[in-house]
Order: sequence, then C-alpha cells, then structure tokens
Amino acid sequence: MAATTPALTRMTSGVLDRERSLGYILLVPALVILGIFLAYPFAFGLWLSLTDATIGGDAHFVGLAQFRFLPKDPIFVRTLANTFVYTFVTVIIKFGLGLVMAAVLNVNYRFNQFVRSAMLLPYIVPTVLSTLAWLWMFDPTYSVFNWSLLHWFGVRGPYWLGQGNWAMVSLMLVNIWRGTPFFGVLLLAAMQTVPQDLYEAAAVDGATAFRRWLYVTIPTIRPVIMITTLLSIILTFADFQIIYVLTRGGPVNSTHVLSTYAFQVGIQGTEIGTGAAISLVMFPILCVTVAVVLWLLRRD
Amino acid sequence: MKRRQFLKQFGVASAALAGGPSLMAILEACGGGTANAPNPSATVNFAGGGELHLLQWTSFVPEADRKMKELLSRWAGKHSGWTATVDIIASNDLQTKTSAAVLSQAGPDIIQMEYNWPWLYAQACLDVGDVVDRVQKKVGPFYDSAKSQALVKGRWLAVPFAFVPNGWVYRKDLWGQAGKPNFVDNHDDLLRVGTQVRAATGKPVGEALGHAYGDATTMWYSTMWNYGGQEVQKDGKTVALNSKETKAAMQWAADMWSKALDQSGLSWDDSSNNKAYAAKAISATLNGASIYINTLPGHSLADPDLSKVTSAAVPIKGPKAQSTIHLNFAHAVMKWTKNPGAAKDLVEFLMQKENFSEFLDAANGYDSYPGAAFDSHPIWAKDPVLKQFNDAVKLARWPGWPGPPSKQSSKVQTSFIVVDMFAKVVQNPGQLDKILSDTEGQLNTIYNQPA
Repeated sequence: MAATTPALTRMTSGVLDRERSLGYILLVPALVILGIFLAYPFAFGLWLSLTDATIGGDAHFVGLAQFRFLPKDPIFVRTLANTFVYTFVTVIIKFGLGLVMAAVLNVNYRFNQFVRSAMLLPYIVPTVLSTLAWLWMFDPTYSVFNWSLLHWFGVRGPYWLGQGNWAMVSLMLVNIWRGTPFFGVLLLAAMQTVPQDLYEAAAVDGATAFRRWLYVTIPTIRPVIMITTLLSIILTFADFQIIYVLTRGGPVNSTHVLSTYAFQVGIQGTEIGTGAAISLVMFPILCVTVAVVLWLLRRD
Repeated sequence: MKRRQFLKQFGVASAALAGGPSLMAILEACGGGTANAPNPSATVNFAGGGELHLLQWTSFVPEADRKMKELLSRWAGKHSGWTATVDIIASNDLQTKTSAAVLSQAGPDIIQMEYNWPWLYAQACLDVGDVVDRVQKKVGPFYDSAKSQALVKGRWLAVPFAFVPNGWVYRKDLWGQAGKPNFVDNHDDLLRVGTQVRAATGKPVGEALGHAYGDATTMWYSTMWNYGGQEVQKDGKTVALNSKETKAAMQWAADMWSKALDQSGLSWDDSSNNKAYAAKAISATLNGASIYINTLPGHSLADPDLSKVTSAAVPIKGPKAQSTIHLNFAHAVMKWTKNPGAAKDLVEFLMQKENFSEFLDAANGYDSYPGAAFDSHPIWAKDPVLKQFNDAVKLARWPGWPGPPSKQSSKVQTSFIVVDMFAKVVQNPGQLDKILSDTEGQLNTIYNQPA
C-alpha cells in the first residue's frame, strides 16, 4: 500500500505536468456540460424530426419524410421567407443604429454615463414585459400611436397587428428597438480600445473626424463588428418572444418565423416530430452563416 | 426514478432546448412531479396524506377561480394530511403547459381540458368512467357536446365540468336605434342591421378573426355550420368542406367584414372584444357572459351606464342551423399521478350538487353545468340577461361535427384552419374558391393521417 501511493502520485503528477494531457483533463467539465446540454438535446431533436412523433402518441421512424413534406407546406415556405426578411432587415438596421449609438456614446459630454445607462434599458427589460407594452401601443382600440395620429393629425392609423405587412413592420420595429443597444454597447466597448495614438497620427496627417472614424475606428473594431453581427443574426433568426406576444404568427400565419411556426405545429398542433423538423431547418442555415463569418475573421 | 424514465424525461426537455426557443417553452413549463406509473385501479387510500395539483385557466370572472381554490381547500380539509392546490395560468398558455406535461409525463395530477383535448392527449389520461357514471346518476346527465369532448373511443378520459356558453352581448341603445332593441336572430339580419348600426353610430360589431382559440372558434365554426357547411362527413374521415354551403358562409363573412365588423379583428385575441366592448368601441360581440358580468357593480370593470344598456341574446341561426361551439372544460386525471384514487375523488367532489351550485353562484352565471341539471338554478332567475347564456348551452356542437370527435378534428381546431379560411376570405373575397380549395387540401392532409 505504502509503495502504491507514491507510484500513483508520481503517475498523477506526471499526467498533470504534461501540458497536452492537462489540457484534455481541464476540458472534461466543459465537454460534459456541452454533451448534456447541447449534444444530447440536439441528437434527440434530430431523432424527433426523423419520426412522426405526436404529443401523447407513439413515434415511428419516417426517415426524411418530414423534411420532404415541409417545402410542400405553403405556410412553411412563407415562414422561411419571413425568417430571412425579418433577420436581414432588422440586423442591418440594428447594426447601423448601433454604430451611430456607439459613436455618440463614445464622445465625452455631460450626463454621458446616464445616457449610456438609459440606452441599455430596452435590452435590460425582460423581453416579454417590454413587448407587452408594445402590444398595448399597437392596440387598435387604445393604441397611443393611433390615438396620436387621429387627434394630432386627423389621420386614422393602420391596424398595426391586423394587416400582414403592417404586422411584419411592427415586429421589426420592436426587434430593432430591443436589439440596437446590443450592437451599441459592444461596439462602444470596442471603440474604447482603439489606441489614441492612431487617431493622433491620422490627425497629424490631416484626416478629418469622419475619415478618422472611417479609416481608423472601423478597421480596428472590424472583428467585433463581425462577431456582434454573427450573434445578432443567430439571436434574431431564432427570435420567438416578440412574435409570439405580438401576433402569434398572425394574421393568417403571415408573420410566422421558424420558431413560432415550430411551436404552433409542434405544441399546439401536437405534431412534435414536424415541429422538431421545422426547428432544425435553422441549423444548416446558421451553420453556413457562422462558417462564413469565422472564415472572414480568420482571413483578417 | 429509473434510468429509462430519467432518459425519457431528460430527453424530452433536452429536445425542447435543441428545438430552439419555441420548444424551450416546453422546458420552462415543465413542473415537478415524477413519472412513476400508478396503478389506475388503485382504491382510494387517504392514509398517510399526500398532495394534488390541478392545472386550469384564469377565468375571465376572477370569483370563479377564488371559489375553485376554496373548494379544493375544503376537500383537503376533509382528508387529514392532504393538500390540494390549483395552478391558475393564462388561458393561452394552458395548452402549452398541458403539452409539456404530457411530453415529460410529469406535472399536475389533474388538468382542465378544453374542447376536444382529451382526444389529443388520450394516452396521458386515466379512464374516469366510474366517476362519470356516479356524477351523471347523482347530479344529471351530460349533453352530447360534453360527451363528445371527453368520451374517447368508448372510454371517459375526462369528467365534463362546465361550459362557458357564448351569446351575443350587445348595446340595447345602439341596436334600438336601428329598430332591434332585442337584437337579431339570424345571419342576414346581423349583416343588414349591423351595417346600419356601424354606419349610424360608428360602432361596428366586433369579432376575433385572429388565432383566438375561444372567440374565433365560436364565431366562425358556427357560421360555417349555420349555412350548412361542414369540414368532414358524418364518417369523420371524408373531408366535405368544399360545398356551396361553405361558400355561402364565406361570402357572408366577407360581406359582414366589409360592412359591419370591426376591421381590427384580424389581430384580436380572446380578450380583445372584452376590451373593445368595455371601451364602448363596438356595438355587439359574440362572447361569454364575462363582458356583461364585469360591467356590473362590484366587478373589475364596473360601469353602471354600460351595464344598463347591455343585454344578451342566444347565438343566431343561419339558413340551415342554429348552432354554436362553446368553450367547455373537463377534468382529466393524468396517468402519472401518484394518487389516482384521490384525484378522482377530488374531481367527483367538485361535481357534487352543492359544490357545483356554489361554483355557479361564484361564477355569476359565467359557467354552466354541461347538462340540463342546473337549468332551474336561482342564478338564471336572478338575471334574465344571464339566462340567455345558459339557454345557449344546448345549441353546442363540437369540432369535426357532424362526424365523431377525433384527434384530426382537434388538430384542425388547434391549428386554426377553419378560422384562417374565414380570415383569408375577408381579406381577399375574390379568391374565395382558391381559399376554399387550399383549405380543403389542408384538411385532407390532416384527415388522411392515421387516427
């Protein structure tokens, strides 16, 4: 026993001393967590999508039948298009507004700290709560928007959530309102790391403030822009709460995105297999997006 | 918990995570409890105590929820060591939470099922035929519409509890100006007089055309039936939507929309018409009695002026029928409960004559017994407006009528396929035939699936 303990200690310390083996050992907790909360759920979701499972019913393996059926479903096709439009439009606008917001907040002025905190509010307030407030603002009966339009301008406002295009515009408006601070804060943090001497050198060379921003700030914070945009695409693509609270995919399924349609089919319609397939459609699309962004980052 | 049970439950919750935010709701909704399979035939054994959980919606009449809590406490007080609690959640979330519980085979011991949900979740519900037999014998028989909800392939999988009958709630003052102080009794008149009222007062008829699982279902299924349309034949398998009767119903809807309805109805949920009526923005709506009850003194939206000019009428008739579909509740004892005997006892306790009578009183006439047993209850004599709602109970049909209820008809309902057909046609009346044909295709897809 006495001889075994030192031998074990030697072996253990040997393993821990080697950088390569220590690295793998330190990775184990993270891998276990990823395995439990990411790999297994993903595999189970994948399995569900390959079955005709219903809630409270039996599941039979149907191969890719669910995925083959989806393109024949006109609501799914509309939903897929909605998801792309919703993501594309809002991410671009959020990025533009976030960049302006960061540039403004990066300037020192009175109450700067207060303004920075206030700008974060949309992102801090729980999404469902703030979206409920928007729901009231869009309400056709009590709407602050429509009341103001009618009483101040004599114009009857649209049925914000009751007409297909207006409903989508309303959803985008709320998503942009909520998501802009995400860009603003991360880009602001990046801007504050840009070395001051670069600006000074550019100023000595005669660059105007705008050109310094364009040729010094933007290239320096480019990696952060890429990562922030990537995260925003992922979050927006999988958005659920805003749409569910405001329109539930209506009117007439015209504002569904993949997550809300998966919910309607999988939970309300009890076709959990089909619902899982709809959810998983996001996966390859997001994989390609991530790969492209990471490739661009590496190229830098 | 056995390894397999753990893997199954964990897998379901995990799949919810993998499936994106939509299915995350499942995980969030999953409550505690275990999946230990009970012996369904267990006799009631109250020794040693225990606990029961009932999951139900938030009633539009809060007094009904308070009474439910009180009744559960009273039941628990009769059995030493027992507790019985009711989890009250928003009506729109009840099905989500039910689905989550069924997926994870854990959660509330008793779930308040709505419409034909026992058909959707049949494998998760215990047979409660013994309770139903005793209740029908002691209290009174259930209507066919209540049976259709809970009697699944010959087995009672839930005990019918109550209806929330719908009727037309309307402004006597506004409809009186158009010569109809007692409202109208058919679709043609609703269109004709509703048009006059909207033109004269600016107050349209209000009805949901969005995914409002209660109001929209009630209004648009009954419109289809009243004109003679139906989604399926009596065999419950052959889709029968595409008919001149359904077209007539769709045409009426399109006319009604353009001339008499509130144009914001496409975004309405189940609370929207309540709000619009309370705000005096509409002249009439098809709804439960809550709109009227809440205007009465002592209630949340008490408005003596409005209650004075508010009355109610039974659902209108069409060329072929006078029908409706009411929100109905039934209590299902879930198969994962550790206390099936006690759960059944509690469900039966709620249906005892004196207890249900108290519940009716507390609900102020918002709920009705799912049969004729309480037709002479004093609550209906107290207020003639409320009596209209109880009179409407017997007009009820069920999703999938005239076929037997089925999983398919429940899917059609929960996916809002019929409601969406009407929502599409009011926006594009010129596309009526295509909309009808597309909807027929959707129904065929669902009805061709195995039961």
